[in-house]
Amino acid sequence: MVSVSNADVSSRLDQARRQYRTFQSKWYATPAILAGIFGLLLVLPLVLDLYFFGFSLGSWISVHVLVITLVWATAAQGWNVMSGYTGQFSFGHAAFFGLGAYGTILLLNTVGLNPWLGMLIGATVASLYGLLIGVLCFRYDLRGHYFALATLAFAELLRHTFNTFSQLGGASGYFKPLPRSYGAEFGFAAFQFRETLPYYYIILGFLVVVTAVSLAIKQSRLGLYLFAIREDESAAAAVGIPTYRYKLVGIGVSAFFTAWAGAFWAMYFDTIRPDTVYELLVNVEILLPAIVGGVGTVIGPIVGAFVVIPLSEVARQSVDITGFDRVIYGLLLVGIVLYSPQGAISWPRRAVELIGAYGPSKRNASATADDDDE
Amino acid sequence: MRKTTSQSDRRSFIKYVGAAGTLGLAGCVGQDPSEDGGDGSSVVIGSNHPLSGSLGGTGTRMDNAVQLAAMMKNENGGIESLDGAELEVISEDNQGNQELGGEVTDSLIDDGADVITGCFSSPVTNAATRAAERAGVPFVISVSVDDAILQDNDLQYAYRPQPPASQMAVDHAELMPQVIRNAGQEVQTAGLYYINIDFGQSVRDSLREELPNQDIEIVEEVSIDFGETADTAATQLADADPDVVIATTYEAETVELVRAMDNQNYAPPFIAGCANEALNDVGALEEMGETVEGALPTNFALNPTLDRASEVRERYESEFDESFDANVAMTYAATEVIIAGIEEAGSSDPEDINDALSEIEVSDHIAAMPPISFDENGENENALAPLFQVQDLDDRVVFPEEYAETEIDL
Amino acid sequence: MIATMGFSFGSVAALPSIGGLATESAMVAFIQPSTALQLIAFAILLGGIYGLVALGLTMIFGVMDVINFAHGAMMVVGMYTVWWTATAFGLHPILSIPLAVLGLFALGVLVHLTTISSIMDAPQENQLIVTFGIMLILISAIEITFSTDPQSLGLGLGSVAIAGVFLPLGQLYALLIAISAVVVVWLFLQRTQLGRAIRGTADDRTAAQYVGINVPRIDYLTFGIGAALAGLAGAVIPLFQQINPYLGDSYLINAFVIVVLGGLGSFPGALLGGLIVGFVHVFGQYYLPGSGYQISIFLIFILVLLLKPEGLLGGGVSE
Repeated sequence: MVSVSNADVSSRLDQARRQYRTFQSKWYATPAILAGIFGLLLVLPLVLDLYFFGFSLGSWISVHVLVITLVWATAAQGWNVMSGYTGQFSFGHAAFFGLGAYGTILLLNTVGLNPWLGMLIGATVASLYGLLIGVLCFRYDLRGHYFALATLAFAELLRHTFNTFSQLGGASGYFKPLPRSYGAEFGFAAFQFRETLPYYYIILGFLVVVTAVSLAIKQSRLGLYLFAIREDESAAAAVGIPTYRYKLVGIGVSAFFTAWAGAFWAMYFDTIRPDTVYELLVNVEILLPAIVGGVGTVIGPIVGAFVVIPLSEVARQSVDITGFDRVIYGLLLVGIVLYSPQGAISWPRRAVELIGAYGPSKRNASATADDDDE
Repeated sequence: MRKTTSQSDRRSFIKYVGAAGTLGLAGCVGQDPSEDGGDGSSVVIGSNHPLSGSLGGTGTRMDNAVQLAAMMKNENGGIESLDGAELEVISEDNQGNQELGGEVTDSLIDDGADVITGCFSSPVTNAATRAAERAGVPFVISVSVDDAILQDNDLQYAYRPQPPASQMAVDHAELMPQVIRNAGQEVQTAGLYYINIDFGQSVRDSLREELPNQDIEIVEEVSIDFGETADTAATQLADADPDVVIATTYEAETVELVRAMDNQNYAPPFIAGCANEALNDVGALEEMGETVEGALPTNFALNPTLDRASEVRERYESEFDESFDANVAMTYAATEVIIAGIEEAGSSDPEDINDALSEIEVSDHIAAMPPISFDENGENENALAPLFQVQDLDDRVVFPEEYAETEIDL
Repeated sequence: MIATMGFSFGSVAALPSIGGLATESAMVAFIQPSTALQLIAFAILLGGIYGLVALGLTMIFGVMDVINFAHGAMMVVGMYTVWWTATAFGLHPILSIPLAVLGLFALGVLVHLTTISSIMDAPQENQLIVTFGIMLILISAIEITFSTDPQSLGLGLGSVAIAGVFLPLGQLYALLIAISAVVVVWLFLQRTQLGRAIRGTADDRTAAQYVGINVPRIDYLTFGIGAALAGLAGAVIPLFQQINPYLGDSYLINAFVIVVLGGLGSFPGALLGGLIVGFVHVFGQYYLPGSGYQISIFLIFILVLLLKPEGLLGGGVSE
């Protein structure tokens, strides 16, 4: 390293930047990056405990934290399909998350239905609830803040309903029964494991599916229409795009997959209660990764989740004053949004530009102009 | 280039060394600073309580109780059966957050905890006991009322010295009317006032079952949510006019109720509490004043007839400058059970401690209940929640007689 | 529903010994006129506080088109300002309430200049995350400084009884303060140059710019005044209620409802919305089990959103 001259370094960086740029503009860039990310995630838990230079990733984060990260990445990916693509900003996705969780556990507890089936039923119910919200709100053309607050109301409505009626479990919610109580053994079929690692791979699988669907939508005609709605809804309607119907498709798909994350959550933790799955904060946790990572992009929600959740975990573990970690967390949220409104996926490009800008060949950052997604 | 990341390297390094220092980090290949493993010189109790968040105040006091019990044991020569081995307490904050219940347990176990206690909030405790179960580390619940934690599950490593919700309701439904009727007065109807979360609802459900067995009819049920005023609730209770109002809430909600009752000039013949925080807290009692004089709360308690119990209480108050409430007393007693288990096991191995706990009978504890021993669910077979009466704005145990510190006054 | 619950238990439990008293009183609960009056009084008292909480929110909403999630946290800062100055320095609430208002105005301006001003044109989700982050910071700071234990001024103001209806004095004072605040802010908006500028900005930001209004200045003043109103709403709460760092949450959600009910940016709308929510809250609590009142509030909210999204007194949706 030391022997390499400055000019050498900068020319190499220049080259890297050019390559990066061409790479980015290729149509296969996103799938390629995604494949890389998923490949990395596949081996990540296995390298946690390896020591590099006397310390390991495992001393920062555990498999458990990775699982949580992927849960919110999955939910955020679901949220993104609707709010990111169509620009209909939902602040009530906890409703779908909770319906997925409750569908699974409630059916498991009451009729002993296999959790995989329960998950699909829960997701279908969530999807229907989403369509109901959509029909009501889009018909009256609620947008912007109004739509956000309406979705919040729909989520809070479920929280209080489940909390009040003991037929729905009441405030104590439901416990996850042991596999043998529904005639199964620990393992894939029962959706229950003794170890954390299998859970990790299941939620990774969910994330891959949701991401694939999201990517397929984005690269299809549907995606184009959804984006058209986001950019200018009346213009989209004017050229004959049935915006109402496409918005409904968006919310239905979005709710369906967000419910998967909820179902997984219910099978991973031991109890669910209205206070945990429908809570106000859950709405924020679902959309946060997408916003931090990059709204409307396929990679953003995943990258964002890996910024937000490990950060809060490290803050929690390394700060001694009780409660101070949340101050840091809050500061980080504000900082990220203020200084990086494009989301974390713009960081590599900005880093490259930054390094380039400080190199001897001061090529200026007018290159920032093409600020497209991924 | 690499130097730019030194900041985070250092932090993780410090954390790593810190962790290795307190324990003998099990899975750390290569570098293990404490060659002899540290075992034998100390036994580690993990304390998993909410130190921040809405339950942070109580959780911190409970955590202090664990610290104090260990401290006093160490002052008296440590664990005898381990040649005076010292007890060490490591604490971590679960924020009253269900998702952190299991995680904090895992992390305490990673940091070397041989036995764990916690967590106050029932859902958190539920997650925590399961994590301990998976790791094969015994878990003695400090305070958590929900029956389902132990009774719906087949846990081999979890124990609960305190009476759970159903037991508290049974005790309350038996003791409270008995005391009133012994004094020649009547109690036929009750109004329930409860906090509308899992804790309040589970006590409510148990009271619904138990009160009718004592010929008490529930004529009104009023719930309250966090942060609400109790004005309407007081009107509802006044209109239903029960003989006794039974409150099951944290501190603020009962204070609110009493203020609202005062404002409406409403005073039921009897005020009672089942697992009520306000009626067992001297500060709250002072704030509520005259109205709650004579109130009859049921809660787990410090055994007031024991000299040692009052010593612990005084020591706690001087050590931490905090009030010694029922939750603190129960947590201290739970830690005493843990210590007795370690003594009995003569080992710091979690497996041995668990075996000892499953068979143990602890008679030397500061809680107002018979010797503690556990049934196959891990529930204390002799769990008891005695009846208090508020006298001179202080909560005094009045019934059953063997734990009474003073006479009932109706 | 609760009454029937009582009955069914009664039929099981009260067979041999007793009966009459309890059943009778449970039935009376539904017909006593004094109860209705009492509930109306509570609804108005609660509605006034709700209106006050919504006032600051609707102002920021209306003028700047920003949802301020930190509004509840700012209330909490107001509460603790009053409580802390009272317990540490023995300050009378008459003095500490204005102090809280001033403090929160300063805090609001600070928050606006450091964060909100640079995201005025950002997508709403970014604004939401920023105000949410500010909420986390404020609440955690309060937690660390004052612990999470409930605190109380311990005023014990008592109540007055008028024709059998009890009016708790703490809430009554709070309501009077809320009404005067509304009047003062209304006069300010109607009668002063600055107030007119704020209203102009609320109507049309671009037009306001053209006629020479310094819109950035209006923004930070608006945010400061909105925060000050949150501070005032918080400051009156220790007069009648124990406080804790999380008390803002329960008011905030309903304040959102009120703001939309009344119409974005509409002052009379905020008050009307406050009253409606106050009534649904109190009567729902009395007649419905559990959180039935809150469910009703959300149902009404959704209904209004669908039928009249511009709000009951709103002019028109400016999207």
